[in-house]
Amino acid sequence: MAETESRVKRMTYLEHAAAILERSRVSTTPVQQEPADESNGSSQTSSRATNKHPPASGDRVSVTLWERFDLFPFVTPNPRLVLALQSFAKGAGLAVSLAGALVLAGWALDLTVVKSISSGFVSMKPNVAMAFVLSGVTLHLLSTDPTNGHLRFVALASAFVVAVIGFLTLSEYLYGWNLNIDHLLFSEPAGALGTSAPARMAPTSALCLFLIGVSLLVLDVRRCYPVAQLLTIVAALVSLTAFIGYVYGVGSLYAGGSSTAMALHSTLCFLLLSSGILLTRQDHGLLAIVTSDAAGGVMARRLLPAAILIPLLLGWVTVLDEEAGLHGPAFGVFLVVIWSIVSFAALTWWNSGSLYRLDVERQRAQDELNKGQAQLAEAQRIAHVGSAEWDIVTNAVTWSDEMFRVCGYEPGDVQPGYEVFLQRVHPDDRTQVEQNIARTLRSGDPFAFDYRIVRPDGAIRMAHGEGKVVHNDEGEPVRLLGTAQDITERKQIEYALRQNEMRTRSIIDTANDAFVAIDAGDVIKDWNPQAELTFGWKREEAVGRTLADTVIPPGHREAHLEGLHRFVLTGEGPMLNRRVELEGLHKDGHLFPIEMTISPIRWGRSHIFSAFVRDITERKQAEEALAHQTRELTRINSELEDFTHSVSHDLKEPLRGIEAFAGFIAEDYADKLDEQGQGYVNVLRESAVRMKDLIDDLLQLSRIGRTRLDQAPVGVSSLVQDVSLELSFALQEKRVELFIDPDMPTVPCDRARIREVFKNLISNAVKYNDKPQPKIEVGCRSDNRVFTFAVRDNGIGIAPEYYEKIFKIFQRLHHREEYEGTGVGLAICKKVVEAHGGRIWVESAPGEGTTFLFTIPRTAARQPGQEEQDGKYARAV
Amino acid sequence: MESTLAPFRILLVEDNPNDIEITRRALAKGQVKNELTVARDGQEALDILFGSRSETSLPGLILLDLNLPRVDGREVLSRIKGDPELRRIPVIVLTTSTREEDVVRSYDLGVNTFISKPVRFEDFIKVVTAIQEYWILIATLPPATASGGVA
Repeated sequence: MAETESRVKRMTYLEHAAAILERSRVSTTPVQQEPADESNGSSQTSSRATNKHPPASGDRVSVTLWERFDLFPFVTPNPRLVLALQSFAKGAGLAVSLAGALVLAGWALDLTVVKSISSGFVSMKPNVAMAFVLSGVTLHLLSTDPTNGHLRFVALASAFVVAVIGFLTLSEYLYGWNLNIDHLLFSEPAGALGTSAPARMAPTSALCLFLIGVSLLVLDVRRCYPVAQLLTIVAALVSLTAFIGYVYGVGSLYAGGSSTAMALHSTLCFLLLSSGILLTRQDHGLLAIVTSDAAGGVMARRLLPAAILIPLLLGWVTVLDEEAGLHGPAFGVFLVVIWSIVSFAALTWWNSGSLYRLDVERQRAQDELNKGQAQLAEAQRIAHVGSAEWDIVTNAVTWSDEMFRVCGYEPGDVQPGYEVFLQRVHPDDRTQVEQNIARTLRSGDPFAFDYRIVRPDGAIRMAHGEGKVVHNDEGEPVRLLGTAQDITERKQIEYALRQNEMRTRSIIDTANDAFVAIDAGDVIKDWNPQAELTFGWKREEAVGRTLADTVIPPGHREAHLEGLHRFVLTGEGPMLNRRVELEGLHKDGHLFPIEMTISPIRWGRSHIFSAFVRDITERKQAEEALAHQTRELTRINSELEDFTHSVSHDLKEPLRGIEAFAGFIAEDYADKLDEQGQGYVNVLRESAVRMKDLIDDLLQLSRIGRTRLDQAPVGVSSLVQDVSLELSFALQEKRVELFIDPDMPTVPCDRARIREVFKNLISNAVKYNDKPQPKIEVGCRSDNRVFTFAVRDNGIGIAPEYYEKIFKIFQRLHHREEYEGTGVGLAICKKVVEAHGGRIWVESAPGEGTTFLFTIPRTAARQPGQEEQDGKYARAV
Repeated sequence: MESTLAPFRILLVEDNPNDIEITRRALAKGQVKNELTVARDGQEALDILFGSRSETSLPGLILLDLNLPRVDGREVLSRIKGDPELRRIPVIVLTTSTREEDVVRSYDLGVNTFISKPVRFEDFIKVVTAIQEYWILIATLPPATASGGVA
């Protein structure tokens, strides 16, 4: 029974919450609805239909306002006390019923001791006794089980009868009529003691009965708790007055003039009954505070009995004193005053002590709480987490300061509310937000979702909301707690990360190298499109396989796995972070050369390994072709070497024959040859000699290009001195003045070849000079890169148009008759200089002289042969 | 110089008849009276040297060309210098080759002098004269195992 009611209650709570949601949705989404309203009428009716919902629950809202009559809504009752008071109320009900029944029996048997207790007292009238029986039963039943329908009906019916009895009797007094209800049960002889009309109860009793009957009737009407209790208290005060009259022996207090007096046991029954009524609903209305565990409750429980009992006792003592005539009335007043002062002062002092302690404790707790709240606010501020609480019962919404800030307000800018919050939610996200919260209200499950907030200044922020419903002991949802976290920065970082990831991804996906990543367990984690092309495995096929089984030739698998294992264990990876050439295995089974670089990347506590792999089949083929060509070239070169040697040998042999035998003719047959014949023979011999020179020069020229330079530091000054010695005959013959700079540097070069250059240049300078006093200067200047050597003469000079031409083989500018020579000398010079990495050129003015200049780099020139060696070295490394 | 002595015996190993003639003529122009024996190839030279051991006709000087038919001049040289008696005879390589490796190889094999043949006959005469002067007149050679050497 109790369960069904609480379920009914929860349903109404939910309806209430849903209605609030519904209403807020209607009020916050006019933008979405208005266009539809304008375009067609049907949606307008539907929107009106949704508007009809709220009034249905509007009553509930007003009820909640009434519920505030629960004066102390947050009081928690002391459970043991509640139980004791409940039992007291039950007992009181029974006792009053029994008392009523006894009096009725007394009436039936005419027992004065029962009817009036003492013959000097007025009797309890039968109607009052009857009312006591009924009201006692009502109190007992309502204290026992207020939810049982049948018993409740009986109880309320009885209360109604009691109220009616009281009301009718009162009306008899007020209007002076006789309704003949007083003798219904028993009759009383006229002139009974203290009775104005026989068997008619005292007006005070009638009043009390009416008040008690009404309060019992409305005892469980929620909004009437305080009313019922006030009525009961009035009844209690009336009966207390009469009771004091009896105790103090003051007749006017219970008799009230000429009208019937209230019987002594009636006063007791009324007191008992009122106490029972107050205490049976002690957790509601005025009484809630008395039974509470709070300081107020403690105070009330201490002071109330004292406030009632001390004056009562003091008054009684005073009355007794006066009756005994021991002292005068002034002394009695003195007693009351002094004892009141003493007892209330003591009581107050005692209570203030407890209150003080309680207060200190509470202050400390408050301080703690404040500190905790300050910390919470600070934490919220740091984490950008705002919190909100919605009291479903009262519809009160509270926001933490940070909640305002998350929504773009300063704390206190707006009245917090669900509607205010929804206004700040991005229009596109509102439905989702509302659905999530509505689902949580319905199901009780927590919610968590991301949404956007549009701040009043238009800034859009990303937020994460979480929340849950708090239920009371009966399982009813009473509060909705939610948090809103500003995660804009996090989202931005996530976005940047995602962008970055996408960029990296596209770099990897469009790379011309295959990209493969494996984890420490050799399992393939990544495989780009180029890897698909290179190895033939599709990404979907490759990812998840082990690298060893996919692209590594069977012979290398063990080594690969061992290397991986060793790196994981020791961190040693000789194959890592450098370019290695290996063999790869294609899906179709063929092997091909690859070049790859593997880099380990720390990944949490483990590693991943990423590798860029390149199919170098073509490069390998090219390298092989190149190597083959080089070998071929070397072979051809050496063949050429042999060839030129045998050519020079074989060509020179007949030349020697021609020259020698022509000489023999000239010698042996001088007398038989005329002058012309002698001349012919001489031409023959000279031709043979020139031919021999030509062959020697050509041989030398061809050797320069084919053979390696023998580079070593050479002191140029002494080298040129040697040349001048060699040419001394020609120099002396033409009386040449040769100046050689003695401070020329030491240069890395091939001594014999450079010697040849100087020899050629100096020979030319001697040869092509028509001056009576030929001068030749050899010098050098240097910069940080090259040495520049110069051979200057004051000879015939060269016209600019021939500056280039003279370095070409067999180019001669003069007739053989003028200047002899093979036309190969300067070509040799050019070739030698260029082989050293330098260049040669000429500066001249015809008739004034010529300067030949050539450069030699400060660092030794790289030669083809050397390069090859360097290459090998580099590969070895 | 003394020309009354028995002619100095020279062995010329040369296949080219022109060069034989040129050499003969150059030697004739020299101051030393000599007796020239010509071997036209390496085999013939070896036959002369090793076949006439017992006779008293071993040459006092050998002029050797390198490029020879049948047995190469280098082979001839190594055979001469490999023989305990013949090795004392001065051998002069007289060749057209200027190839470095020929020069090195010849000296390795124990040649006494390596000379490239000049093309010009005048130069040739100078060379031959110089050879004669140096090896026959200036240098002191070990006594030949056979007679015919310088007395």
